[in-house]
Amino acid sequence: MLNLFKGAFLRSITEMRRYFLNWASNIVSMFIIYFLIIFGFKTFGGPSIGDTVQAVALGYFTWLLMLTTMGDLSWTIMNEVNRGMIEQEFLSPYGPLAVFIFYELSNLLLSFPLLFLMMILMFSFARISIALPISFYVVMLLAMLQSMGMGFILGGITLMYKRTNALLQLAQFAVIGLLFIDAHGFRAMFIPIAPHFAIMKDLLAGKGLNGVYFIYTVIGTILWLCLGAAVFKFFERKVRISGNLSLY
Amino acid sequence: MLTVKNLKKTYKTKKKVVEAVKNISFTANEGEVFALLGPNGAGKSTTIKSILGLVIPDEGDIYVGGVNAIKNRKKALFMMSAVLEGNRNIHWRLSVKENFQYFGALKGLGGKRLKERMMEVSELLGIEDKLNTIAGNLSRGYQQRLAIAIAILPDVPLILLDEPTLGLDVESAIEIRGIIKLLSKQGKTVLLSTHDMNLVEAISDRVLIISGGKVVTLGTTKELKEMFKARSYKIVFERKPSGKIIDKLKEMVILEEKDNGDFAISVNFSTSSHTLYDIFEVLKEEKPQIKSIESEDPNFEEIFLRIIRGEKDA
Repeated sequence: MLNLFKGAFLRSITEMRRYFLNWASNIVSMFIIYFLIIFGFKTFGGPSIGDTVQAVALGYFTWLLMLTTMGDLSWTIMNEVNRGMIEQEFLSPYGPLAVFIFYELSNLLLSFPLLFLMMILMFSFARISIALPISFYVVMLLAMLQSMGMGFILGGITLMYKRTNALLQLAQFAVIGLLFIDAHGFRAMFIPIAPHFAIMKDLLAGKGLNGVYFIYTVIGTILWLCLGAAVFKFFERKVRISGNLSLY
Repeated sequence: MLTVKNLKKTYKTKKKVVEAVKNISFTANEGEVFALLGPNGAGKSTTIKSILGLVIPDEGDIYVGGVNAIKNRKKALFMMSAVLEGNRNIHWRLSVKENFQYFGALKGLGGKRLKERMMEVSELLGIEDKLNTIAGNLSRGYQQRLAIAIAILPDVPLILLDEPTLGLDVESAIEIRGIIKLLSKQGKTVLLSTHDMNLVEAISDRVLIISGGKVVTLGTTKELKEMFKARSYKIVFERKPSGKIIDKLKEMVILEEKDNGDFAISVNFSTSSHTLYDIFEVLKEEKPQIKSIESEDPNFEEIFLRIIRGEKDA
């Protein structure tokens, strides 16, 4: 398993190094959109807009994180089918789920330094201190893990139906919708991303961490990760029954 | 090494149901080059993908090294690897070395063992000086060598090759042929699916011919050739017989005129209802001088076509 992770990590780092310009330009374009949004809020929002700017900044960054972790697997699968490598990945004795988990984790690990730098720049532009409680960053990590679970659901659908570009775009906007839900408590556990974002907003506003809500969020994260893995496995089997793994 | 028992697979779509494999059974032994032949749509790829677990069969059992590959796919995958048809085996944007590292890792290889195997197989396949070349920049022949190198990297006892010489020039195809033979000498079982009859004839120990999802015949290339031997004859004449005789012969057999002035007739008794005596009856009228009568050995391509057309039973 360690060798599998090493191999996946090496591939990620090589692809990132070789296609750095493409990767970096994606990040920069997201950055420019962010600055335009915040600039618009600051210019036209009036003097009482302070808290909203901070919420928008946090929301945008959280959305960016979700996109990175949630959609990446589906794009990877579409690329692998196009390149014709998907069958070889299915021939790994560890199974495609393990192969893709390690590949996605590698991508995430490599994106981390840049994402962190972006966070500092974005937050400072919105006058948010990054000296936030550690629980803030823990919840952020949980949010990323949960969106990885959602990514595996989308990845499983992509494995079966291949051309899911429209679905992925829809999912990106659905995540924005989720960020607007004020999700606290037991039922929030079943809603993806919303409880995480709600806790982060509370922490940003200086409210303390609610231990019960935090536990619900941890359970919710695990639930979505397990659901993602189960759905992926379901479609993995379905695609092997239908025999259309490599058909695009 | 590999046993396939009563394999059945049907693909169902909303519009139609396709019985890709109806009932296929065979065993490929250790160190054997076992060829799987059949026309397009015969069920070769479905059989190979079922062995690899890329397709889940409806019925049947598959054993790799005694392990049930359907029930214990993970264990079976540690004992086999494959080069699938086309360019579906390498990462075009990674170098040869990076391809080894990535695909080796997929099979659990790493560290010193990976380095050792990488050097061994790259030397074996003659790509040791291409390690830093991006795979997409290699020639088609070298890409295929890389694909085979990746397949043998984990040192598994069973290797499945689906159309390994497709799209290769003659020289590269001959080199690939040599590599497959070498693998079999090393004790690896090679299951080969191809349309390249020269490759089959040159290196296969046994051939399984399938058509319409069913086994048509199984045997060594020699046995299959034997099946059709002495059923074809070539009669060469000193001079071209008269037009009257030729017209009569035309209705019975295939005629051919050679560049060296000889005139010959080919008689294939598996496709013709006539006997050699019928031919002589016609020739008796003018008694043209016969230079030679030879029994013709059909090449493997002809044999394959005849078997597929059902002439074996004729």
